Amino acid sequence: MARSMEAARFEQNGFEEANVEESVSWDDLERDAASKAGGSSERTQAWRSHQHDSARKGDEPAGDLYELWRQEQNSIAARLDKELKSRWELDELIEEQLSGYGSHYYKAMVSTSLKDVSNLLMPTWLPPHELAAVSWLGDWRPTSILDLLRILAAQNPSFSLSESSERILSQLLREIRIEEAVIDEEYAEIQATCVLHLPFSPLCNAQSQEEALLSVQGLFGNIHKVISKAQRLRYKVLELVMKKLLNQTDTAEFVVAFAGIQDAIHQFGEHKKLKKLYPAVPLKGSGSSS
Amino acid sequence: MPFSLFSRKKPTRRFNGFYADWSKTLSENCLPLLRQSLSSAASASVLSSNVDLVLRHLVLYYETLDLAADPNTIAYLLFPSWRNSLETPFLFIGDIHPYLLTNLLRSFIDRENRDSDDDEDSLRLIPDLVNQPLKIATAWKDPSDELMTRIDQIECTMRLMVPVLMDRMRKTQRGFVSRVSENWISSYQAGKKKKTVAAVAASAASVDEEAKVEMEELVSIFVDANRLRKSVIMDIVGATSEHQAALFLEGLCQFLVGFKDQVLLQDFEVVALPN
Repeated sequence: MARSMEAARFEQNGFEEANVEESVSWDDLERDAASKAGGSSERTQAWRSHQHDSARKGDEPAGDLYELWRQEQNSIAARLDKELKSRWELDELIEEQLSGYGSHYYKAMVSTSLKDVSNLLMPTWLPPHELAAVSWLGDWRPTSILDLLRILAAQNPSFSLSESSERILSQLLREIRIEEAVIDEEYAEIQATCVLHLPFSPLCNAQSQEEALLSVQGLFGNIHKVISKAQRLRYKVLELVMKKLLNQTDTAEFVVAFAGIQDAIHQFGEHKKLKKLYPAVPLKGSGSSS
Repeated sequence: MPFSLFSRKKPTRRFNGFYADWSKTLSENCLPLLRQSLSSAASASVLSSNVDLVLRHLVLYYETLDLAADPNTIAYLLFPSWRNSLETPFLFIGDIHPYLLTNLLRSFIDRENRDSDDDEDSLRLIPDLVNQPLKIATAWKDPSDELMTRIDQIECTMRLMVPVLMDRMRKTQRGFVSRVSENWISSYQAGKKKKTVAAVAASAASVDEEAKVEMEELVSIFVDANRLRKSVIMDIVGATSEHQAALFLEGLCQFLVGFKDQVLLQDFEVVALPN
């Protein structure tokens, strides 16, 4: 499946990328020619007049020029070859990063103990300020991931999101927003209604300790299902962005920004945690109202 | 001394200490008091004053939460380390879901007014009721239209407010990430030209700045959520009869205390998820 998506991306972007290559080589050729023609700043102009000149004169410098031109062609081809190779490396890196996200989210889905469920929602390894700032069921909101992409596309001039991709992005934002809301509803149902089936609830029928544990187990199983759904949604968004929506360079830019911003927010959280400003209340509120 | 930071002005204590004491009072004083008043021996005035006392204790909790909340501390209140792993998955903006309150009330009513073949069953499940005076045992039987209308109203208000709270939560988090992203991306682009160390420092300062705005909004959402929970509890007690209110509060306290059940918690720690 990954391979066919890869192929799809090349089909999708092949034309565009070919264009970029072409413009790079023309650029180089023009610059080169312009410098030979006396370093005129009007490169295109110089190139044209240079072409014109050599065609008209047709004498001995034409052979030299051809040799020069051929060498230049070879050197550009060599550079392009290098670029292509690094492009494959880039592809591998992106693939690696995406599968990294995949296994990170998957880890949550294969949790085994009831306690894991609480740790997923309130990971003890993340500072509380980071959780408060961004966390939705234990991690970034899928819509926040798309917000980042939207901003990146708007702010980064080298980002080449096509008009149709932009349309897909805003469509995606709407859809993911709805999927988030659906998950919110499911979770609220557990927190507001199913919670009354906990064994100590005045409405629970559990008679024995075993029955009691079974009801807790069932309830936490349902919470775990909701978390897994959220994790799948996060991964789905990243996969769509990195494999379908963006070309290779933009994907790389996106990955760098996503990691950088996550890190900046994490650093902020760690910094706040060190300050140890814990919630405090006036001493007279002793916890007893009598 | 860990509290020295706060003791410069008024004497204060850490919220988790307050919470531990508050929980203890809830299980050791409030719940027994209510149970006592619901037994046949108690007079109506004892019942009434005990309902009042327990209600005050619950309200005290929400008021103290509000006092503890500020932009520096809100993160700890939304992700409280003083709650155990059995409780945390059920926290909605730092405490119980407001819908839980009316759902609990409705369940009491529904259980007592189900089709007759279930009656025997429900009595079997709550053996205490058998020993209770008739007034208590039948408190939920055939609730007045007035009460049912009032419950509808309370639910209606909640169903308007809870989605707004969720929406504000979503907006403030998304807004924060968006603003941090904007700043990060522009300083990253500037950093491509200049030294990146400066860019990193700039983006750290900007996260701090944006977080201040977000944490302030989170405080306001938290305070509003607590106000809602508090007012729903008070509204329910206000709408129900003395006996109903006592039973409702008993159920609620039993529920809140139940999360701290040590035996259950010990088992909880070792149990696996269902497949």
